[in-house]
Amino acid sequence: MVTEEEIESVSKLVRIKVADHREHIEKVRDMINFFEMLDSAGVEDDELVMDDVPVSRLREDAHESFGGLSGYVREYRDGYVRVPKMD
Amino acid sequence: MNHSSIIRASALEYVRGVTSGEFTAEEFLSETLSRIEEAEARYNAYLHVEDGQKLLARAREIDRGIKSGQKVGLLAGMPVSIKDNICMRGSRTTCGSRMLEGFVAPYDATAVSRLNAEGGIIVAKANMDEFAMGLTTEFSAYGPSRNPWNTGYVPGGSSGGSAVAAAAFECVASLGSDTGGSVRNPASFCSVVGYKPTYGLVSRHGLVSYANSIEQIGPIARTVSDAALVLGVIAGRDEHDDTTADATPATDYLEGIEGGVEGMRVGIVDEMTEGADPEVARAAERAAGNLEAAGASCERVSLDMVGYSVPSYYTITAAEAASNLARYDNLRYGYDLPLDGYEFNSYVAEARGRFGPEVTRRMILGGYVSSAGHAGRYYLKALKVRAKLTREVADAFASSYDILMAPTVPILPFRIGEKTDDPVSLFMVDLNTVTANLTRRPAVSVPYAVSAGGLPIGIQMMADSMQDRTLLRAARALEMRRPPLPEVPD
Amino acid sequence: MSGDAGGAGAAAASGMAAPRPVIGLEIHCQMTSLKSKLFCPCRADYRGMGPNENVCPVCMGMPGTLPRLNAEAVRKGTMIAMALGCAIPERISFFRKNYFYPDLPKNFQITQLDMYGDTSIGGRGSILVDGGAVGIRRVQLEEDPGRMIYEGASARNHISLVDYNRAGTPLVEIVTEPDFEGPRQLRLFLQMLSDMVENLGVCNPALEGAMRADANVSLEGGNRVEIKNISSFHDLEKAVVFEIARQEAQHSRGLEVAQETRHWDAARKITIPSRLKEGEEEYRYLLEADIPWVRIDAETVESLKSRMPESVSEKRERFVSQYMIPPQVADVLSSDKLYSDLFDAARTDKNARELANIITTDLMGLVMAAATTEPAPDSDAAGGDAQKKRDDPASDVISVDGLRELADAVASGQMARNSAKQALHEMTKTGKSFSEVSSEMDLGLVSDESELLGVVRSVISEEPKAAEQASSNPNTINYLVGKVMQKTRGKADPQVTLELLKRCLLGD
Repeated sequence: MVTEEEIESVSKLVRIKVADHREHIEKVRDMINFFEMLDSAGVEDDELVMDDVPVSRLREDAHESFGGLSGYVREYRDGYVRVPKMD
Repeated sequence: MNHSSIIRASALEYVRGVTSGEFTAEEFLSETLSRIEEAEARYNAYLHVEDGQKLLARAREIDRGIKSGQKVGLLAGMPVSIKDNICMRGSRTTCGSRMLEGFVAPYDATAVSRLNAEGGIIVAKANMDEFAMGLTTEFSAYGPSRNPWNTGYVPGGSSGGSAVAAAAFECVASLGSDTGGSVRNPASFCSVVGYKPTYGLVSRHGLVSYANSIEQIGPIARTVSDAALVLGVIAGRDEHDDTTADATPATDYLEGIEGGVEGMRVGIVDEMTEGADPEVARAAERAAGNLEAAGASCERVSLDMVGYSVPSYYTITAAEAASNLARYDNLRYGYDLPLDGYEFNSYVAEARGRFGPEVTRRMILGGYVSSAGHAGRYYLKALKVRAKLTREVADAFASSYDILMAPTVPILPFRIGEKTDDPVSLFMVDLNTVTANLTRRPAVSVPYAVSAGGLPIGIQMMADSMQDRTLLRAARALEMRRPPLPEVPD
Repeated sequence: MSGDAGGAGAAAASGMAAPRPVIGLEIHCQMTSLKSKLFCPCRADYRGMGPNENVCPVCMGMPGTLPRLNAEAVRKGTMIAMALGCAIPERISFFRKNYFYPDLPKNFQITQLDMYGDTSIGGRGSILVDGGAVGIRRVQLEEDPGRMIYEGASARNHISLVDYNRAGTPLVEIVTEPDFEGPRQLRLFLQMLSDMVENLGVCNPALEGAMRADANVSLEGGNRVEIKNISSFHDLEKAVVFEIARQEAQHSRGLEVAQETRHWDAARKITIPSRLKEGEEEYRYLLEADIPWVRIDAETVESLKSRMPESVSEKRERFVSQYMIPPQVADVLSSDKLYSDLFDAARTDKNARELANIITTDLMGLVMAAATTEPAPDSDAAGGDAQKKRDDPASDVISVDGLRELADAVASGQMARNSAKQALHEMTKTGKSFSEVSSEMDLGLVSDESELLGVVRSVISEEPKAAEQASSNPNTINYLVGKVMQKTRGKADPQVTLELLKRCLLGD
């Protein structure tokens, strides 16, 4: 059973301030309980299937300038992006 | 065709009409813009309509091109719209979220540049559930869109705005995105065609990611052929998206579309019809009858793993969403929230408090199912279910069927507000659509009938990977054979 | 693994002494020689650019952008893995390491790990260093984050500045097994690795921040301490030495070493514990679905093998066996790509030995001396200049042709080694050609018999005793040749001098 503390710690992990965790707890719990259906799918021994491509399909190493992002990115001072300091 | 009704033209009719001089691109666009202005008060299909004067200037340019015999592209000035999670240079892209209120995209999505290159005129950005998480468009931060068949009802989602716009003649065709049914579900609810291509057929460059391993941009239009025309414009290998397949760009998906279903083998999926609303289930049976009358053979088929598709789908999408949406920390772009008084983590958490409750829940969910202690039980298991489901579906196509068929949505459209409080019951609305995404197969919703209560019912068809032409041919056959549909009320 | 087994024996043998240190490394090497970033076409080498000039929607993590994997990064990464004796997987895959940080535009880093099978670019390798095997656990490709600049030192200032020019720069991370036995082996490994990546054309290790390392240190059987924030290989060694001493002191006092992450404080030259917040180690690794898995098939591996330049040890071997260069000289010459390239460009079968000598004993010294008299670069902005120098330090001061002519002259006996040294000095100082210098300075050999005869005669008269013994002892003649050379300041042609001496003394 998912606890309120777990929900709180995950919301911290994904960096979302939640005013009242009780608002979400029941719905999230219902969802997670629903996911437990996966336990009975019998897939423990199944392998993952992934598409692959040869190296030759990848982007070749060449420089191309985008021409800057000014106007689209906040540049607060001398071209730098300002962020709050970390604790 | 008089001026007040020209905007009801299909895409193919538009192209014929404008190139033959029956009407001009400017006239058509101008009618469309008036229609938008009048219809938006009721439907809220659009979040942002582009500047009319600029659009009209573009239409006049196309008209001059047509007159002087220049190439004007396959779309020849056709008014189209795109879901607001598709980037267009210099235009606002909010993804239906207040988190991206101030975001202007610095580049064009590949689908956008291909529409433009073929003479499409993008008139508006369509409403959607916030970051495409939802299937009713009620989770848009800018208010729900309304179903033109009954404005008290949801239009489906998450590409609800696109489906409403196509159904209500606010454009000829629209681009949506389909992560678990987000193109097909609203197409079904609004009685238009919604097409989800094979994964990798259409570039995702410029599509704001929600669950990047399974989603595709797809056209919503009023006919199957219209969807095929638009698909041909946007499909093809793109060097900006390493997951696009080596299909020839701008393949003509109209070619062979009238070929019919003679000799095709169609499987009706048990797991997708058993729990359906009786009226919806009857529609699926009748649709099978129509196809048999056209020479296809239909039989029931059971795909065990479909029963696990929804929890697998929601686990994978939540995990990927938590990661894809992590970049919205409001530091490089976003809305106005001063930095003063915050430490980095507290600022980011505060800024991200702007996500709506559904997005918040899914990210908490995603953080939970992919965290070290739980990934084995949820995320990894969901990936394995996806792998097993993929094998099961691949086997069905390899051994027995050209098409797998079912109702697009097991229930009829419901009232706005009816299901917002019960996420798990909403999950089951996705039961029939998520399999195509998880297995990366193409699927389409074809309008089939309208219920006794006046609500649309769509039929979903799915084909094997890269068999998009076969799928379109089958969908076109159903469209021709179905009983006549009533006009959308206005 | 072999290190662990050997270590157990060593510990048992040492009885009550402190347990032996166990050291492992994680090295981050920027692929500065590539033209573009790992996932977009911005420059791989961001040095010398204004803040946030080397960015695009992809490396800025703008909505809707997708990574476009650099094919050359995959190829070069595979080459490094092969050079480290790693197994090359059939397919490689990428993962997202999710954590929030201001220098990380997407708030996840695209990296590799072996979560679902071995899909990092290389793994399970081993390389001999100083006689001991160092295991390579994993080689992986990943993106570098941006750079944070702290505005002022004031505690009241709550703002950092971020420059994302570096964000997305391709990195190769090399994770070793904890096999190092001590700082010496560590230093030799890093030197070897640095030579290797330079030699493979992946990285210019001289660039500031191009190669960085974290170390993990423990005493056998004790807890593991990770040391981060080490800015140079020089400091790495110091940090490890400090940390071993710290742990040994704890051990000798009977205290348990705490398992923790510590930071290297370069100013105080000590390691200090890092503050780790709850949940910081929760990375929620996810498959990166935007990048398809990439097949590294046999054909690719073969073509990369043929593209791989000679390794340093192969080069050394060639120098010794093909040109008869003494092993110590070959060591020096082969370990430096620039000088060994210069050697290969200027060598002929005849001049090779002399050329190796000139480069290692004279030219390297001259270039080093020139470099230390330059004003030291005082900021990051000087990085571009420093790079240019490093790119071409020797050929800046002497041409390949000049060097070849010089070595030819010595090898053919036309010039003495001492004179060659002077000529080289002059050529590097003035930029004049070999022929100009040798004629102007009169450095050419004096082989004119009449000119030399006078000197020979005066030497014989000054050394009567030696002259007398010359007939019985051939070594004495050589002594007298030396005297003639001294008098002519090395300009006498030794062959002609010998002939003249023999004629005068032995009547030949």
